[in-house]
Amino acid sequence: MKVGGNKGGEERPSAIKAKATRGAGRAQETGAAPASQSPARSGGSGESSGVATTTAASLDQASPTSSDAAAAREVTRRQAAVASTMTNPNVSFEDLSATEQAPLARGFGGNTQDPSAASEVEESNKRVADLVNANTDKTPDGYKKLAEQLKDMDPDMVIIALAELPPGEAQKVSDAFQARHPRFQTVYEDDEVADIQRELLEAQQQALDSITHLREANEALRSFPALMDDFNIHPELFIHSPVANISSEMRERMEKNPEIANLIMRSNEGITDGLLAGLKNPAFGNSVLSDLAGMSQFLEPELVQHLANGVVENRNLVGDMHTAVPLGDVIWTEDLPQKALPNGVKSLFDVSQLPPELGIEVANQLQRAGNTTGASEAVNLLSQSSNALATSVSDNVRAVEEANQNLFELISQWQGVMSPEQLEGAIAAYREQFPAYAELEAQGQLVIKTTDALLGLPEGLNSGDIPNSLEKLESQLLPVLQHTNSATMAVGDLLARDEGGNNSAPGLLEKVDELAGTLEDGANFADQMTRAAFNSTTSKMTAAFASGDTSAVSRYLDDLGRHGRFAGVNPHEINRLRDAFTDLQSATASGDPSRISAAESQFRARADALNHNPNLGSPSSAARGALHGLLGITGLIGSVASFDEAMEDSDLETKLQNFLGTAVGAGAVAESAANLAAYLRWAGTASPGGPVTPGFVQPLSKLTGGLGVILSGWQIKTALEDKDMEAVAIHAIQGVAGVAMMSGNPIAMGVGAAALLGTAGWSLVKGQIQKVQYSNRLENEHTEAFLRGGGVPDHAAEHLRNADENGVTVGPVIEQFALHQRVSEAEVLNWLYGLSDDKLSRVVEIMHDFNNGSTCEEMPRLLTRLLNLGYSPPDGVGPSSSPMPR
Amino acid sequence: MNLNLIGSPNPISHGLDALVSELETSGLCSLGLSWQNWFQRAVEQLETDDSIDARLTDELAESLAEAEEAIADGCDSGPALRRLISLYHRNQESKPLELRWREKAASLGTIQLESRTWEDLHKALDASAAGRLAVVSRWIDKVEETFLAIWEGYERSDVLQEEITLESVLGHRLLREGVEGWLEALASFRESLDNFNLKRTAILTQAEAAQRLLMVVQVIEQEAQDSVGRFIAAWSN
Repeated sequence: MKVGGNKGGEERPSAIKAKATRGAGRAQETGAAPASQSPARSGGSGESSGVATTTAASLDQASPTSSDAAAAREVTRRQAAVASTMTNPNVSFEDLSATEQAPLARGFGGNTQDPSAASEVEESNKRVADLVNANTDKTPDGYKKLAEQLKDMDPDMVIIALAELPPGEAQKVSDAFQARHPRFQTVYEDDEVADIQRELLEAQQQALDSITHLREANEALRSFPALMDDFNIHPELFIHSPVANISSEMRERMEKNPEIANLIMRSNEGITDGLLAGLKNPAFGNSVLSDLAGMSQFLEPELVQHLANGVVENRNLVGDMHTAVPLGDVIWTEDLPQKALPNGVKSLFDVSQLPPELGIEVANQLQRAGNTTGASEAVNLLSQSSNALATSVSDNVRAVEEANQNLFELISQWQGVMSPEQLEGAIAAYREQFPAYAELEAQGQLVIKTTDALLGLPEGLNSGDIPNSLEKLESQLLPVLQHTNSATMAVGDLLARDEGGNNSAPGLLEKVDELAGTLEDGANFADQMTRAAFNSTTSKMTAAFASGDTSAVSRYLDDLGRHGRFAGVNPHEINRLRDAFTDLQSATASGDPSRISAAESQFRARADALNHNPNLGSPSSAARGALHGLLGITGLIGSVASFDEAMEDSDLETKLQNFLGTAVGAGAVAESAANLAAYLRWAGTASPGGPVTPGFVQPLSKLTGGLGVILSGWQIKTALEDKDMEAVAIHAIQGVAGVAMMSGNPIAMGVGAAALLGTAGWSLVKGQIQKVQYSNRLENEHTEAFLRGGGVPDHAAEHLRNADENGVTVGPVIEQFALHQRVSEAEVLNWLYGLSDDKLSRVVEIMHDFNNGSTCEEMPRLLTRLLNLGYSPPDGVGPSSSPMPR
Repeated sequence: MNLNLIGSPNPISHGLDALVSELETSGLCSLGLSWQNWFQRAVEQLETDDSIDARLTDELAESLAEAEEAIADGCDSGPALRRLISLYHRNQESKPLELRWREKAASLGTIQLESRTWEDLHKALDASAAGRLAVVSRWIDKVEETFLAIWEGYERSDVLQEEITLESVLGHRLLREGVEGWLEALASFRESLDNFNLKRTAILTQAEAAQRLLMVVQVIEQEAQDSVGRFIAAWSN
């Protein structure tokens, strides 16, 4: 008797049924083994053998009530065999790949794809490949003939196809092809060297994607307006359209390779027209328009003008296009005040990072033109934009401070194990995990400039919601000064403008004292503003110094002196310092020792006068720390002929001690001066081939940008080295590290990150937060990213990220264990990396048992335990019998 | 309104499963100094796993506490742990077979999921992202053909009346769902290629669910084989 009675296949699951037709009869072809049958079943299904049988298909309908694993053994064994064959079939992707022809059609990234374009590319690739393969003559003449055959084909398609050929072959074909195609001659006629040819190949690779997307963009941009007209579609629907993605991608590609962008734009007039069609249509919103505006920065002037002509037709786009400097000049000066208002105003404020002072200018011009409605609208829009900015900044500050708490923990746990370079990488990787860092950095300068603009609003325009907006923004001034470099540099920009700014009313710099009296933490705000002024000046001075422009130093001191009042500094004292600097520079150039000595004395006296200004707060204030950096760098620049000379000056440390000793106190500054000198040498000698990793080496100007601030940063560095976390937090609160990080110096970067932790980190160190709250808090992907960024291999990072119940990872134990074993931390780490996953996991667990305190006294126990379990940790000269002092 | 539709259920910890498995295979010493962590995770499962009835949960927790106290006091924790293991298995045996097998499928580790098809799927996804569409398409065809051929062969195979038990029917069900899931994942993959819109995560999610079922069918069979082997060895001695 049969059970169930269904024939196999009649009640198949849908996916199997759907595929059954295609697969029918292929069992033999594929060589797939059918399910085995026992000899007892060789008679097939039915009752011919005297045993009641059915097929496995009938099990779909069976409803047994009894469990009998033994009876089912044969069937379950067969089922397992079937599953095994399916999960490990004879079909292998590698085998199929081995027979694959060189791929000519590329994959398509992005969100929107055009199958027809892909097909076109594939067809063209094939044609080119066929022609190339058919060419058996590998002599120059052979390639010339081949190029003749390719001549009539679409050049873009040839580029795409060439990118798929083996490099040597592609280069020869492209050489021949270039000689026959005027466009390539235009672009490359002046440069025939081999390097350019290699670059061409790379460009071809990029052109592949760019052309594809530009074509799509062209199609989309052309068709969307018509679609909207035809179907009466609301424009807002298209703000997040695929076109936005395309335009964003285009912009990214153009930024990477402006040359190819121009090549494509010039050779594809249709694309340019398509872009203009999009520009004329407000439906695409700012996401597309700002991208297009950004693109124009990379285009050649005539293309920019072409775009500008199109933009002028549509006043709504003026604001967007203003983000592109070339277009901005065209439109702002000629058209905006007269024609683009008030429609253009909205666009102006919708574009992120639009300089707010331009908004004020718009309002002013409207007011002067008697268009009070337009002026009010402009001010209201600015107010709305400011409110949104303040809210977003507040959220990001909270997110950054929260992330900093864990970062602080990680730095303190791993800074003894990682090298400065590794720590830098780890910190960077960790920060990348949190978009709030980058967002806040971008917003820092906006807060400063928008506040300045709002404070500078003339009478009649500073009404409505402006006071409320201003209050919200002002509350964010201190956080952005503490957490961002951009705010510091924005203060520097304010210093550089003429006194009183572009507006008649005083701006932020002129109202620091007033705000210090009204803001909640006003004294700290004033300290930070002064610190920002000194630090930004120092950064600009050192950058100028590194580039050989020492005359700029006087100019920057002038800027500072002009605004000295806000800093609580007598402008005359700054001016006297400037004069002393000029004298020192002149004396240095003369080489006359007595003159140099006199100039140095004069400089020190004037530096001393500045340093004794009581308005700069306590000795540990941020402003005073920044002033020390400024004085040190000014003196240094005055005492050497050039940056290069500073690099080679064996008396550099003495000179620095000389200048800084006056300002800071000789005893305290000796180590700082030595460190600065070492830093300067490092900055001058670091090269990709040296001990520093290539990605770590920064342009010299950037390296030196934050030089002066390191004077303050040293205090943090020293505190970190001494594990004096309280001191770290104090210096962090001073906020000096933001600019220190800008320097790119590994130590400063680490210090900067630590310093940016702010008060939350301090609280943690002070034990105000219960450790238990941190249990497992660090066991997350952010810690893993931190470790990977620090060079820990992936498989090891998965284990090393684990924290014990107190939230402590094994970093401190590794550090202590390395000391005990008399090996480097790197050797311990390498040993750990070499362990299998299971063993590493076990060792990490064991190490967690030694986390509490992780003192040297406990290390012999850890070693004994590891040895007892069969592990062989690295050993220097044998385990020490007594704890090793640090 | 069914609120469960909005929030996802809390994930069930497998700490107790892991602890019992470790104790049975390697003994208490293998837990090392982190034994408290193992116990803690076991307690977490007791707190979250609703499939263990309340009374048994209490008894299991009590055994854990006894064992913990014994270890802390330097006493013999063996009796408490043996009781824990016994209670655990009593609970396992009381669960419906299908629930046990599906739980096992869900708890398979990533290493246990590895197989040629699974690895090839990853390679094929990478290859499609790199534009090697033709070879990927061929691979999908081949795998589909193979699956269908094997499945049809299996369906035609004989089953005796007495072999139709809970185990064989359940094995068939899991196998069928696994095959179906794989074919659906491959269909999604093909659709992605056709639309030039690779949905890697969705495809992998589909395929992983199916792969778990195919692998658990093999794991269960292997375990059964092992237990038969142990039985024969014990009988021989």
